Amino acid sequence: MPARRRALLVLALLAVLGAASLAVALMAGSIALPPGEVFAALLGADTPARPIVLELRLPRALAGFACGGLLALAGALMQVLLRNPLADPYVLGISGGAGVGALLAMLLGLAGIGVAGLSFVGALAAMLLVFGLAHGDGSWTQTRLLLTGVVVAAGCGAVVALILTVAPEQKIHGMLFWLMGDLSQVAGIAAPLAALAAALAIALPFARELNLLARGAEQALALGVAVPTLRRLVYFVAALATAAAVTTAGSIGFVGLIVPHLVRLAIGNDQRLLLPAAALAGGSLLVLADTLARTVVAPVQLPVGVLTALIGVPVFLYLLSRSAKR
Amino acid sequence: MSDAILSVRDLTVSIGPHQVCAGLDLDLAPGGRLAILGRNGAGKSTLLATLAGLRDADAGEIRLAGQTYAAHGLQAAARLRGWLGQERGDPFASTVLETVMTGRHPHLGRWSWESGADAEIARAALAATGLAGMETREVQTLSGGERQRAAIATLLAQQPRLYLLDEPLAHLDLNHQIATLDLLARRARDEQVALALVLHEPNFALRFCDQALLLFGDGTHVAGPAREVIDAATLSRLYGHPLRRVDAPGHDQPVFVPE
Repeated sequence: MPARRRALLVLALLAVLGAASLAVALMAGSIALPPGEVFAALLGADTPARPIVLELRLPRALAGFACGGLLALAGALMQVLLRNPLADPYVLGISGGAGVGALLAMLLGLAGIGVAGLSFVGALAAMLLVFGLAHGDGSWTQTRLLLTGVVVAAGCGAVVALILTVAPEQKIHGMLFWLMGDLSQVAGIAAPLAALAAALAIALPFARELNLLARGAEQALALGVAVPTLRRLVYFVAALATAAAVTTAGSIGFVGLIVPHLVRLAIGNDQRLLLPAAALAGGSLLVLADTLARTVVAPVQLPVGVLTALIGVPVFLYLLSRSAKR
Repeated sequence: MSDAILSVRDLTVSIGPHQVCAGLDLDLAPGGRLAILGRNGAGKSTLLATLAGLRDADAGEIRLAGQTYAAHGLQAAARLRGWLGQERGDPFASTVLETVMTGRHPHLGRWSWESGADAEIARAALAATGLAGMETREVQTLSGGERQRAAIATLLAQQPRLYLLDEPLAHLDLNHQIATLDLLARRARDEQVALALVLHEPNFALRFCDQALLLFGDGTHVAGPAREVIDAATLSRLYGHPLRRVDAPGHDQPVFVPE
């Protein structure tokens, strides 16, 4: 069947792009390494480049790939769930809750796993709060869910602003970096990679049903989709994917909103292809953006969220103008 | 009637405090064509959605091909009955062929993709609704009437045995209104599918349907053979506006015109 073959071809190309972005991330940096040395280090040769590749660049690149993939996947799922092209992983307040948790941890002087732990608790609290409130009377309309999420996000934003106001000066820099998204303080890479694999494995079997849900809940129900169950599943997968990403790297903006649209403009809106393609493209974009973030004005490192926007905006506008002409 | 595709016993449906029908009995056999008539807000759409198993009834029993919706399960039910809603909205871009192909969903397994045969069914449905050649058009660029026909084509591609259509003629010009009703009546005759249509034109109900269900909006209803239950007095009461019967020479079907 041509559609399926095309999907596999697109995914193979994106996998190559992902591998290329990882290769660039391993080679580029304040010490540039040729491909041969990177390969040797990866294969276990005891060269001077080995610690740079295996201990510094590889974990950071893999964590970036996982976070980019998680955010893009969560964004694509939220857009379907809310049937709203403007939805992104943060629209329902999950990053807001994570932000409150992370900043509180920093205020208390915690670092690394402490920040990650409290931000995950914050994300879970926001997720359950929004779900509970929006689900209140059993009817679960997109508008109600969206409004609940936006209001919870606004509340979290106020708390974040409050913490920034009362925080001592020397902690502000780290807090701002967390809020803009930062891959230099990654605590562990196993969790985000496992989360990405799990989210894809749970979402993909329902991809064709998501195609129907995007067209309207009643129509989907009439065609045999268990809409209430599917909505709940999508909400929790998207929320947990978002929580895993922001816990790892802070609230990196833009990837979750724009990558699904980018992919949609390029290859169409079939979720069976869109979901894995968005995950691969989001991962690649974030790895490239992070590589730039730590090289363009090295040794100073920029927040990666700034770079994702600077790369993504022109690409997105180009694709949008191209599709308008068609 | 045991061979009925849809059989309804003692059905009570209400929207909040407003009762749509009470004690409704209905049998729709293969090839049967039921028109549902009533004023705006009488609950026609609500009743149709209830018949489609999309919302719960207050009381009574609905059987689809002899079994309740719960016994069928969602996917098996979707292979037997199709439902055309009033809402048309696609927030994301999609081609006409992709849209119509969604009707094949209940016939596919979890991991299968639409085959060439599914695409052929979708193309035939587009041709039947006069949309041949529009396969690659963006559905968002279609006119209201073309969109309505694409939705009907989706229903044809679903290949159900019971068609439940909520205002299938909305947005259609006169030519396509007749063409659509002809198409549906032909399916009923040739493929023995059953139809239930929410209509606003009693003359179409008389011409294309053999049964009629009139919802008066106060919880009462009249159901029976279309030629028996549709008369000037009942229609005048139904719409709250006087209608007159006109018998045109050479036509065996009377026409009802508003005074």
